[in-house]
Amino acid sequence: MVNLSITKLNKQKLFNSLSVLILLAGMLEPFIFPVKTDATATTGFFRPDRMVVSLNDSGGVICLTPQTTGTEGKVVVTFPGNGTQGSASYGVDTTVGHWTTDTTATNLPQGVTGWPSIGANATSVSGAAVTIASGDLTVNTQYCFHFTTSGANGLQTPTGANSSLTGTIQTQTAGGAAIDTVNFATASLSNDQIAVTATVPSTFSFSLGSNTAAIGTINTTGATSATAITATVSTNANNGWIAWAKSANAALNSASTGDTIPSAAYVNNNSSNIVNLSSAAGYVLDVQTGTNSPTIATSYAGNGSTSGGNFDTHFEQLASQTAPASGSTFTMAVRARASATNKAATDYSDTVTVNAAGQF
Amino acid sequence: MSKHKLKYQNIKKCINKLVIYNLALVINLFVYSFIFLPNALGSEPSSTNFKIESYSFGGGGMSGGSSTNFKLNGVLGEVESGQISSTNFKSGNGLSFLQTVNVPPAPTFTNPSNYYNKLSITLNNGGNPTDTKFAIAISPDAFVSTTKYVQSDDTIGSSAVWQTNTVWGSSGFTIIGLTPGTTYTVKVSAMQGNFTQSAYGPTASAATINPTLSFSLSTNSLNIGTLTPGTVVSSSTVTTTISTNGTGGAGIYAYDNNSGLLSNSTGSTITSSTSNLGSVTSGYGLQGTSVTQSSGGPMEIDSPFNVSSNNVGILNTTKQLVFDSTNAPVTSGQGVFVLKAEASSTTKEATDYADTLTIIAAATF
Repeated sequence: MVNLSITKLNKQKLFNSLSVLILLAGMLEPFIFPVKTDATATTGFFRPDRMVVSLNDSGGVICLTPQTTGTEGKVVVTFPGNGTQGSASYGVDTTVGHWTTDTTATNLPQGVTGWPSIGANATSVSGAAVTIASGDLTVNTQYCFHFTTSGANGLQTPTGANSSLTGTIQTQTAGGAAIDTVNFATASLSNDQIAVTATVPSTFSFSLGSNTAAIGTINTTGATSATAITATVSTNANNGWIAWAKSANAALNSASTGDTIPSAAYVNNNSSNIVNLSSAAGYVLDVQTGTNSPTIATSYAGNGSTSGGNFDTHFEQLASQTAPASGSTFTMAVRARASATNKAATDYSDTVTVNAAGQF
Repeated sequence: MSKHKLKYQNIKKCINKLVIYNLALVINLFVYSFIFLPNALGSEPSSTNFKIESYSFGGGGMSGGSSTNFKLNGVLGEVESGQISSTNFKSGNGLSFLQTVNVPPAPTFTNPSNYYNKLSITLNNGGNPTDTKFAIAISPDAFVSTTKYVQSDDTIGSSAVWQTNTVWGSSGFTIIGLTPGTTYTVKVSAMQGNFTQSAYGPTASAATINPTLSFSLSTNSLNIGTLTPGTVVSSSTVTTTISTNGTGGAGIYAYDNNSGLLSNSTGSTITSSTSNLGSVTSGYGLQGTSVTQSSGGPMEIDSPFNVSSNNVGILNTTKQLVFDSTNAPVTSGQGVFVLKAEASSTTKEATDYADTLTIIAAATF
């Protein structure tokens, strides 16, 4: 009796054999079932700078993606119509120098290639067809150039609003043999613009940080000052703002005694109005600049510690700016020094009125 | 390992080798047949110096109709040659006509989608064998004076190209590179290995249309309104509408005069920028809000205008793409946008803030 030992089928070897068969079949498949390759059509477009009717000296962008191998020598753009401006026809200026091209990046759509060696001007114009010199193009690359026109007419848009105005872009060899042709369509509109309007209203705000200025005990040897009060101004006035102040008394008056600590006579818009209480008795206002650096009137620009300007019972300018401002500030410090003969009293007082206005 | 087991494995190795050798032989025969001897299958009876072109038989029988290298293909009782015809019919006689391929019927030839530079065609095999090849003639003047042929890349050229229906595209394909606004006529001829070329079959016609582009704006004026400092204000909407059969689709562009809202009386400008107006003190720009289309496209909003809330894209003197139809023809494609602006507390007061927005469109053909 013969004993046979049947070994298990080697799966790995079977897989390898099948893999080889499949690989061979794949290699032979193109020869057994050949497929055709599809060509890609040439594409292009005309993007006018304006689409409004009856416009002279208009311009635009010409783009083309060539698909035919050839040596380009010129490009011919034929605008819709017959070259004479009409309701559905562009007017095409016949003066070659009135046609100017450029490949400035900001004039072209994003991502395109500037048209190589595009002629600076047209070389000929016939009817609606404008011919411009061109460099050689590479298939499948999108090329663009921008053009402008000048002169009395240039490129005139049609006089009527229309859809589907058709023209062509054709590249040619230097000898005039056609290479690639694109038929394009554009449109003309009665109005291609939107007039946008808006209003910014007047704004003004003014505030004081405090409404009381307690000078305290006034002596006869030097200046005593109240805590400075901050004034804040905001405005969109075209010419900025002005702030003023006036004193009810131009002095600190004591009702109980009838005595007064006066300001000296006001000197308008002049540093002579400044009195230094270190060396004289008096009642003054010291104004200092703050946020956004408003201009302080010379009549009140004290030294920030002992001096200030004499009050007036009329509104006198304190500070100003000449342009819109947001949150501009200045400070006002009231100072006083009694004379040796001022009567003792606890009710010396004054009322100072501060105001401001925007200069619209 | 047992002697029997070893013997079995050796047998298996032999079998594997045989399989591989046979496969190689099949491949060689195939390659030889189709590459080196294209006429190996289906050739006329021939020897080195002689070939039987056509033949007929009398009423008698024959013997020895084939040998290792020759075969005879003949019919009995046919008119030797000639053509019997009337105004509307003709009868082809003789062996060549009897055994020629079926004349292909008129193909299906249409313009299914307002094409301006291509047309769709589907061949009719006409009951011919699957290895039958077809040539397609095409003319813009119904073959009065111009006859061209569809090429293997679907363009048209001067020479006939023969391909099977499968290679042409049995489900149909488009003939490209055609002239807009033109009626084209096509007809098809067939040819198959052992037999002569058929006559061209009946014609079919279809017409390309012209390139189309229509464009409109819903308004020519837009008042944004009063710009309270610190508040973002939106204008009412503007709708742009475009339709085109351009194969590369349409684009709608915008540019302005001032790169912002300018007050001539004060010389103040609310400058445009791509920004979130809610996060800046002042600004101005355009926001695309929606797109729709009746068919084709679809329309889309382009960066930086494809934003929402208080975000806007910059407006300046450079023509910027706002909407496009995703590189496809579109019918009644609409793009809607608004303008947004915000003044700061120091933006000069004036009633004459203004800008001029120009909207243009173009399509790729």
